[in-house]
Amino acid sequence: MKKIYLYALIGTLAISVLNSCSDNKEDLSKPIYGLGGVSVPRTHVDSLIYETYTKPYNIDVKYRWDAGAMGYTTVLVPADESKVLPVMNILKKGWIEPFSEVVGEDFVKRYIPKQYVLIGSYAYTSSGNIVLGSADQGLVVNIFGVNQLNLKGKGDISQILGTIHHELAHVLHQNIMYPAEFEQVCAGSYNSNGLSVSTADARKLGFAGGYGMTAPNEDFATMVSTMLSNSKEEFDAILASIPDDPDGTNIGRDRLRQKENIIISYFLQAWNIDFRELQAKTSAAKAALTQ
Amino acid sequence: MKKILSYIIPIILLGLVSCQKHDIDLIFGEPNQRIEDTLNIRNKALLASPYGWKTIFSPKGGGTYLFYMQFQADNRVLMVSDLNSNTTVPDTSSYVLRATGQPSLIFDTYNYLHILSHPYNPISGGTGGQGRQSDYEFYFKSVSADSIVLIGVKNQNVMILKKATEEEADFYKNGGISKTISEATSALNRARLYVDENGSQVSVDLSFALKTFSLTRTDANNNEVISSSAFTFAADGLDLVSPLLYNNTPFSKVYWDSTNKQFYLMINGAKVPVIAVAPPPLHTLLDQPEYKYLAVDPPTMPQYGKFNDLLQADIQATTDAGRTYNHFYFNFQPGLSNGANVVFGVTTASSSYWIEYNYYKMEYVDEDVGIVRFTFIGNNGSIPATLRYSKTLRAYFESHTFKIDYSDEPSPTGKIMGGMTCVEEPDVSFYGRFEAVWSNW
Repeated sequence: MKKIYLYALIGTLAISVLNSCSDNKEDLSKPIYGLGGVSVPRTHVDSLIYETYTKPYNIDVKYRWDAGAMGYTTVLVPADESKVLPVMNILKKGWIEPFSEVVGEDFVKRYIPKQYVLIGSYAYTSSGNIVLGSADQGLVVNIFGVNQLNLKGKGDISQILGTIHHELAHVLHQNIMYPAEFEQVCAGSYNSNGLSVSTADARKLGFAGGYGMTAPNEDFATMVSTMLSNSKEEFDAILASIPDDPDGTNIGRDRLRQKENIIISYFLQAWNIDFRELQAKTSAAKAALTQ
Repeated sequence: MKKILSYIIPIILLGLVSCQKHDIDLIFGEPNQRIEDTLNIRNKALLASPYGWKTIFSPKGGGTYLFYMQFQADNRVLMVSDLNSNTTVPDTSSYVLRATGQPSLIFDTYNYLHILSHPYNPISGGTGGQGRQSDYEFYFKSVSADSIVLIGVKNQNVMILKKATEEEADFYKNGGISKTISEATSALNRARLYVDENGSQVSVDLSFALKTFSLTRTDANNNEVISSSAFTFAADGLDLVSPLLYNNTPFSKVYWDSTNKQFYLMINGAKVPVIAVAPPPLHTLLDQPEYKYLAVDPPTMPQYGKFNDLLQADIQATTDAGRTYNHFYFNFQPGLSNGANVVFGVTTASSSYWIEYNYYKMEYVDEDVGIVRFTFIGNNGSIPATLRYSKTLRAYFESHTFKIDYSDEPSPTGKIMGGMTCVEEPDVSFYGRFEAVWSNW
């Protein structure tokens, strides 16, 4: 019996000691230092980004050097301030406006990648290749080489829009999966080494490019971005340029055509989007940007 | 009882220890506040220099460059550098102070300093993917009244910012670097430079493109001894990166006298001028070894106007004959005995063989100013097909007179540029580079 009292006494003491220490007067409502990053005075560029992209679309544009977000190991340089708005304008004209017109503002606000990281130089990999753009999880899009971009050049505009259209395609299939028949078209030709396959060889097997060979999801995303970066006529011309196979057939062209049709009906059935109208708008926007 | 104490005492001790953290806070203050205070103190130090800062910066990947920087209260920094002709014009960009392990200064949008870090080597002049192993994020090593020492985060380059004077700020912000270059270039154009050292001439070579200053002496064995230093631009002249010797006295500054358009050294308080000797007229040098050939390579030396039209006609005729036009050239010292003293020829690609080789007699119409005419003597037996390669130019040279003079066109390293201008049609001219020996052009 005595022992029970003793344990009770020890227990009470222990609890009171623990309690005494939780009774500190920390102000828990205080913001954590540095959580929102470093604040700097807003420049003209920052104000325009806020008005044009952040307020209507909740888009964040990161262009000031931040090693944590841009890379500790690769040698890069920060963006030139004078290139920030022109690069974002390509995004606006080639993505936001066509999609708003054809699909609607709400669609853009909901599915557009939300953070854009602009970096001055390209990223050089240890293999000597350069990285033009990359994207993480449909949320962050990294655009490299903005200081060197020819903002009127067809190739450079396609590079920026291609990255964004590609990421959008991933966001779409992550929400509503494309039909299973899509990956049946090229079944057996997927190849994890696709990146080292030339575009011409990839097209002979029915892929928009080597990267599309790596997995069905990448196949879908490269198909969508290729179709949106080119007008219908240009896409047809790409298909027409694929040489016939030795037996007189053209597997590449047939497969690309099948996948093109699946994508068009997927956009209509899953998203109620008229793909041809969207394609006409994005390719017209691209043509306008090069002038 | 002992057993009870052995339970209670540790609990009491634990209680005492667990509550001690309040004392630590009282002594050192809130850590986040301390970081913020440090960053503010560092920023104030950067803003404290009324005329900004200058630094002579040598990244690990090579080169030494001047940077002038003026930090402004709204996180803007104005920058000027002597990296190249574009960087002598002030440009502003953003900077920020952040705690990244240590309080750091980050130049966070592109400006001249970033050129050295650029991974694309045509921009940085460094290694592909690496740049010049330079830095644009720095820790603070020390801060004193007149200087701030920074250490690069990525490559540990040392950057010492020194307070600039009002005069220096005026110089750098108002295009002083390019003004010095253009004044000195036009005043010393092609001049031979030397300093007098105990009665003997020590040659001075000054290159604004390479930013080097060199002295050439001849030693007892008649060998050339060259001592050279890189330099950066200062408000009063050139700052040598490593000192050179004059009469065994080291000097590390070459002053520019903007009024008299002259460089000079200050040795033990005495002025030693860099003497400029204007070059002799070009036509008087054509018997010198280094002026033997005047060679024109059309792809790298694009010609202008009517002369180019004539040249293109010959190039086209060469192409039509299935050959690739390479150079045309004059040989002013052919050593011939048939009355000709000049050779005019054309080379084609795939060999340096003079596919076209014509003898001329060059005579002075006016020897004082260097006006000449060419009289055709003959050729080396070229067949009519190859004669077409020079037909248009030969016809023009044979029917006009020409003034021989130096050319201001950019020269390949170490080459002297010269050319001829038609006297009858003064807007028709060509230029080329002088060569001492026939090589595989």
